[in-house]
Amino acid sequence: MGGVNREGLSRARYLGVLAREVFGRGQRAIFLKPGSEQMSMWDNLGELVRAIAHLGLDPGRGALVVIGVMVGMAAGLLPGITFVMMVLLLLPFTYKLDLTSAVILLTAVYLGGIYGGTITAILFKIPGDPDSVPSLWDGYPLARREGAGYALALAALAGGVGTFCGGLMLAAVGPAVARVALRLSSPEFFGVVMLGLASVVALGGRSLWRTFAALSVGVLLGAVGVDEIYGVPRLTWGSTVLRDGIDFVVIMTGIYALGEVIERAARGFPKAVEHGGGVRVRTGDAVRALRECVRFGGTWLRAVLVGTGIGMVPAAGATVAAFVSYGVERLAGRRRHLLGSGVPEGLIAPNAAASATLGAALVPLLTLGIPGSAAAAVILAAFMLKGVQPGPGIFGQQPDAVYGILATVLIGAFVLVICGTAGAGLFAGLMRVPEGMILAAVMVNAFLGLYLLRYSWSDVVIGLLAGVVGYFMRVYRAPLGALMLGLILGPLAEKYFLTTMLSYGNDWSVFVRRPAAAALLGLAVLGFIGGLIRSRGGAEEGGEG
Amino acid sequence: MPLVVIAAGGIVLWEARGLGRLGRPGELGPGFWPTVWGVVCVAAGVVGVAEGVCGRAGRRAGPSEGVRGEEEVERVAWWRWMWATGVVAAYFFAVERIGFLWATVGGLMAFAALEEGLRRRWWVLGLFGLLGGLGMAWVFVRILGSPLPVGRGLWGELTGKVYRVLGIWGF
Repeated sequence: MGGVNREGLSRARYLGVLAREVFGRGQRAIFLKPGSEQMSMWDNLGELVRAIAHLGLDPGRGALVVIGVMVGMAAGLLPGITFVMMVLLLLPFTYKLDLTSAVILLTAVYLGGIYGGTITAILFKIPGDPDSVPSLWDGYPLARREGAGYALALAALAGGVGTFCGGLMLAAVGPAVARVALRLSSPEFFGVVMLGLASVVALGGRSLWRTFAALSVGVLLGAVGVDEIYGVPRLTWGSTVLRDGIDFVVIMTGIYALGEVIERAARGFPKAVEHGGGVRVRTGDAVRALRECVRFGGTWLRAVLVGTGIGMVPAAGATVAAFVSYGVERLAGRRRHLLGSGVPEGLIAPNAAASATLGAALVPLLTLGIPGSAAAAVILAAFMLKGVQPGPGIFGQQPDAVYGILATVLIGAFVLVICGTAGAGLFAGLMRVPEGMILAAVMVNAFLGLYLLRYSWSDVVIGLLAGVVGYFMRVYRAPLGALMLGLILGPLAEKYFLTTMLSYGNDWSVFVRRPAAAALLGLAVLGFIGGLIRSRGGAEEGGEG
Repeated sequence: MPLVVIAAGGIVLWEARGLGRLGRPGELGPGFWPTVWGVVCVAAGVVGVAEGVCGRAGRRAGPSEGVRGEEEVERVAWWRWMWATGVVAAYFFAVERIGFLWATVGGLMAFAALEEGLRRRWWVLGLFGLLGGLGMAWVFVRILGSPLPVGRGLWGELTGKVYRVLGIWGF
């Protein structure tokens, strides 16, 4: 106990009492609305039905779902635009919307975006997004053999069913997780956040030092500004601009949007596809796909289980789920020997799994405030821009927004099937738009996203610098997702850690004495070890950006 | 790249040294967190340097990991990189001086001109820039009511005239 003087001890005690006030009693006041803890399953079901009815009957919000799904699908297939980027680029359009409308639009874009890239993978063998790569292995030969209309209808059905199952999972598990989370304290929350950081390492690329470097840079960027616990400016180098901290939306816009714009422009644009459009999904194709897909019950079940399971892990997301699901089908499928030759299972498995990640990725976001994917992080930003911090009490605090998201996922699944079949030819025609024009528009939207966030030129300059850094990170294969999750989870981890230390008189053993915290931190350590083993074994690239 | 990571971690450690003492009961301090992650950053960079020196990454992963980064840099046409980065930076800085509308018209044209096929069709470029700039301004200023920079002096007056023609008031 060397170095502890009376003054220091009393200050620690004072801070401990203060922390208990703020994060103990205060947490109840902040997180709990009257009755929210006692909400039964039937209450939740009632809220969900009400939200679905509202969304269905409100033409404005209903239109947002349709527009969002269509914009997401377009983003998924356009070269140079990923669905994460599109969710990010649409953020400035939501600044003037109310919270519920904003999250409905962003969720719909996310939903459509996961599926969009499959259209070009099936038609032209060009995956629009990384998660669409497994779809082309069977989708393209299936389209050549059985007709493009049938393959597109099957893929849209897979996407719709996957999305719907993910939404059901969110509706069933979300409130239950939130109820459990309400009983957790700062040591357990620290364990959860560390588990998120560990999953970044476990799922990172084979170069462990790159993952750790990106993660630590992200955490350090998150530490810039006035410290939340002590109120001391840190890493600001005397700049008043940096005292407010660096908004993760600024870094995200720079790294994901501007970095991609610069990288693709520097590499040179490929020629636009000349033969887009002209593809039609006839009613007969859709009926045949619907009739045939009933035969593959095992594939559906495996894909949805893989998608929902992986979706909840931060840094995993749609890409990992699509690849893993295809791999599982290769191992356990009834016709596994035919995979790759153009069989429906090879198209259903990756599409259903990738789409199912959406609902699952929203579970940690809505219940713990921890985004399960990069696109979920943008939805987190939409909440925070409206002054709402997602967490265990959000089901009681913001029922309209939360159940609005749930209703969007469930209704959006049907919209996806309709747009994916009826509008496939129209979307394919978008491939004729030159990439130079698309990226120029992304540049302007990125500026708007940065400037309109706080009307601050500093954000614009920081975003530009982040764009250049994002370019070099791409060139040197540094994982972007690790930096972003470090930036988002780092401040949370610090807050929960220091709160624990202050509340428990700097007794580190609290992390071992509390069983839930010990279990979570144990899993986090296993994740870090797993990442180390994975890197030594030379595993392939992992998580979604 | 590992050296940049070490330098970044080192700068953070230097900056964090005066913030608070580390690991003493009651005095974890505001410097604790940056110090821990500064050390992680430096350690990651050191491992990166070690991997580079030993050639371990190159042997294990082949050209796909350790060497690919350098190859990628060589394959990029530097004039294109300069053009793209320059246009983005120039656009961002021009918005404040000449206003969103004119900067967007110019920025869209300048960036799209990176595509060879579009460079030859100057009228397509011009139309794209003009319609894109006017459309963006109309959506954000008129529909969404977001105040965007109009530009200084003559640029501001020109923007005002165009906004009046478009029916955008209260910019």
